[in-house]
Amino acid sequence: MTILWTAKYLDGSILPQQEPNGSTNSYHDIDRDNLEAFILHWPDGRPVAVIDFVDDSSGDPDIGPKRLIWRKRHNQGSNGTHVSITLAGWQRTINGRNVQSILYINEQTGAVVLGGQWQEDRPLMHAPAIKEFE
Amino acid sequence: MAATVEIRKLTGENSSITSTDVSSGSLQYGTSDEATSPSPIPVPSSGSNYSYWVTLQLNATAAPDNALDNIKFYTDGTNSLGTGVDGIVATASGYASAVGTAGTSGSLLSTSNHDGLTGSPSPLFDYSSGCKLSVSGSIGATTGSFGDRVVSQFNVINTAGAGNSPEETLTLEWDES
Repeated sequence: MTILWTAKYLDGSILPQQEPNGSTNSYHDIDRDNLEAFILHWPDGRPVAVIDFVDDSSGDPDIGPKRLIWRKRHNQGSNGTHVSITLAGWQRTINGRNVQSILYINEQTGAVVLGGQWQEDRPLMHAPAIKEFE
Repeated sequence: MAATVEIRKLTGENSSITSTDVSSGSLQYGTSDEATSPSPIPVPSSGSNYSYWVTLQLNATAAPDNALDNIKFYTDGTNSLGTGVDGIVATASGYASAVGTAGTSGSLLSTSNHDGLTGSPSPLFDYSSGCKLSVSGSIGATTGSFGDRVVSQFNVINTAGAGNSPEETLTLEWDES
């Protein structure tokens, strides 16, 4: 079962990945400047995780804003096995250093792993190809 | 909304490539250029016999919302194929037909024999989940094949035993957005 996202904005409005009429919104379309929370949920609406984007820097200029990252990562074995995970979280610049906090959610089991920095030497926890707006 | 991606095995001549979905079945290596059930690799009395190289590429049959990218390839990092059997792998920006002497040995996978390789092949089992082979390429919100090809080959020397080698799992990963 696939995990969907819904972006919740500071003014209370939302942008769901999948609208009630079946149409979809793109990850690129999220208004990152007004994001309050990024909600991950099952198709029936049951929540899986909520990632908070409210400014927690207390005005410290050395702490940059959280920048949303989301991907669906697929792992296909030649023996027919397929694992898909949703990775979502944020990266931000703190004292000139880029740091991340990422959730890895197994879509088959619902298990959630909270990761920190990208780990190139760990299964499924390597960095994505970062997009310009991230 | 969600992309559908297959692993395709490419066979045939450059002018008429056959693309076969191998996502859900086993992938066999042998001494003929066939999508499934190639001829076995004979154990040589000396030297090496090679499989025909196998070319894999991802193919999106349902488009993503934005992109498919960040392709990785790896094995479990341990050669469990038995004595006298090993493998190599490289990425390729272009396709080249697998060639050799059918039923006996494929030609060695090398930049000399495959002009689409992006570099010299490396030992297959050097790549594991902790040390992945990066595969260039991506696709936007559309369908079709994408990314460089992953080309691999097994070789057999005279110390190998007769019969089918144990199974190994090759893994491809990619990101969807």
